[in-house]
Amino acid sequence: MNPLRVLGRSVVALCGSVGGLASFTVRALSRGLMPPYFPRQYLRQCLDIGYYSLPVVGLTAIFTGMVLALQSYTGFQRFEAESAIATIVVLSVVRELGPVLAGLMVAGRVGAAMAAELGTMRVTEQIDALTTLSTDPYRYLIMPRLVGGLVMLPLLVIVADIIGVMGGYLIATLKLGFGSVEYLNSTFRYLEMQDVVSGLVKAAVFGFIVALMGCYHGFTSERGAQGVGVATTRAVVTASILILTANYFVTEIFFSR
Amino acid sequence: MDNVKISMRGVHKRFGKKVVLDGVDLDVESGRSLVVIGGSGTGKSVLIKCILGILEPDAGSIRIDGVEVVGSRSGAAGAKRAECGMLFQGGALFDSLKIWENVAFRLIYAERLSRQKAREIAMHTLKRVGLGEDVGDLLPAELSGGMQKRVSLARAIASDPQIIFFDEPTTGLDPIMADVINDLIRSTTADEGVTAVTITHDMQSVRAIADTVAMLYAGRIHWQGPVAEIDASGDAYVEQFVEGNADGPIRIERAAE
Ligand SMILES: Nc1ncnc2c1ncn2[C@@H]1O[C@H](COP(=O)(O)OP(=O)(O)OP(=O)(O)O)[C@@H](O)[C@H]1O
Ligand SMILES: [Mg+2]
Repeated sequence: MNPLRVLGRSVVALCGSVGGLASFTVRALSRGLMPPYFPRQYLRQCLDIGYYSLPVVGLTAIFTGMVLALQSYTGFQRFEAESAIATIVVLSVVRELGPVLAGLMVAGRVGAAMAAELGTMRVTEQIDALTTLSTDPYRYLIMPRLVGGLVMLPLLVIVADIIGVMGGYLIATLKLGFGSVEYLNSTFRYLEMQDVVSGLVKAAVFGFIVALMGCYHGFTSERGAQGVGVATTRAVVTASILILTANYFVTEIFFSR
Repeated sequence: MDNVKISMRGVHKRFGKKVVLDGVDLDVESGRSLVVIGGSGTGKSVLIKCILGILEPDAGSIRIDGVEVVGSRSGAAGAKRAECGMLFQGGALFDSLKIWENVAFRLIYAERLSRQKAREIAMHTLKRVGLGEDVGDLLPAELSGGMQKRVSLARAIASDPQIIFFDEPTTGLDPIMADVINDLIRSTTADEGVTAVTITHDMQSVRAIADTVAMLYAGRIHWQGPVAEIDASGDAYVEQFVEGNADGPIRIERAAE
């Protein structure tokens, strides 16, 4: 087969899917920002995305904080720089690991569930039924999820930050022999507002990405159980890749100056 | 001409290479009950999805009360489609909502009735399709297939639409319940002046519901006439369908394909 043709075909396919995603996003936002709004749907999504993700995100955060403290202790001991541990832990968690890990966990938990739910609704004609009941699916189904992701992930990340720092604190004080006041002091000494803000901006971006991928792939799911399965996989994979990509660019914007 | 509610001219629809509708011309008179018959897979469901705007025809014109709805995003077209109710072949109930919320969906979300009032109407409508109050608080998955069908029917008629589409309303029901549903559809058109378009394979339903019968074959309306003429149509295709013969022109053409 002609390699140029293969290349051409995949470029066309890529442009097609980027175009599809872009028009979906524009349509969702332009319609979803207009009334009517559906408070119950917004509430349900916020609960689903935020509250029910707490255990997963909390567990991830605490072990990450713990392992960070342990790793940096064994590493930094060689330079007699153990006093930097608290700073390392708090900066890594707040700037990077909190938002990225929370984003990835939520992509697996919530993004997959959204794609499966919307895909099933598409396949069983529930989305068509919505339009025949004079309800816009973009307003009723999509917008509450996008807003839920955008708003709830930063809140989740605040919790993850606190729990992550606490994980480091536990290991440092209980296992590595740091004094608790000393550790807490050095935790906050070098922490700047910008670190926290950049982490929360990342979280909002990631939350939006997860919800958008879940909605887009679910909404455009092919017929049949297999179609829903494919949609779910795509939602998680594309969300994860986009999170890691976006992470670089947001970091670049915040810290390259 | 002024009592024509829905008028279709030259409607074409195909999926990939497969031509499903190949120039459908059909008029539905206001306040009358039209039944569409035709073999499985001839495009009956596609036909009414085109009228409702769930599918976009490739070519042709569909007017409701003289308002063109194909390719139109105007408010007038939207308002005409909002006058339509639809019973989906597969039910298409919202599986995350309770039965009564399904039935009351349009009342709550599009017509902005109070939940209390909407619930009363929903319960009343459920009674009309032979379901008791106790069913109202269950979820769709907790009902049998035939019960789901009736809930779906209740949802279609709950907000008193001007035009109702029934896609196989009696499949999956026992003969007695089928008769109850036939009576219900008959009385909504006869007493309330609603225009009804029903798809069915059940000849007993056809005789019970129809004012006019149209037969869809090979992508077009092959025959149309008053229900009284269906047994003496003089058309070999219709005769074969009505009598349910395996032998006849329909079979022969299929074999020749
Ligand atoms: N969304 C779709 N994508 C691709 N093909 C479709 C789609 N919807 C329907 N079709 C095709 O169109 C044809 C007509 O389908 P339709 O559902 O209208 O049949 P029907 O007349 O309602 O049959 P039945 O009596 O079995 O319900 C079928 O061959 C089907 O494969
Ligand atoms: Mg059908």
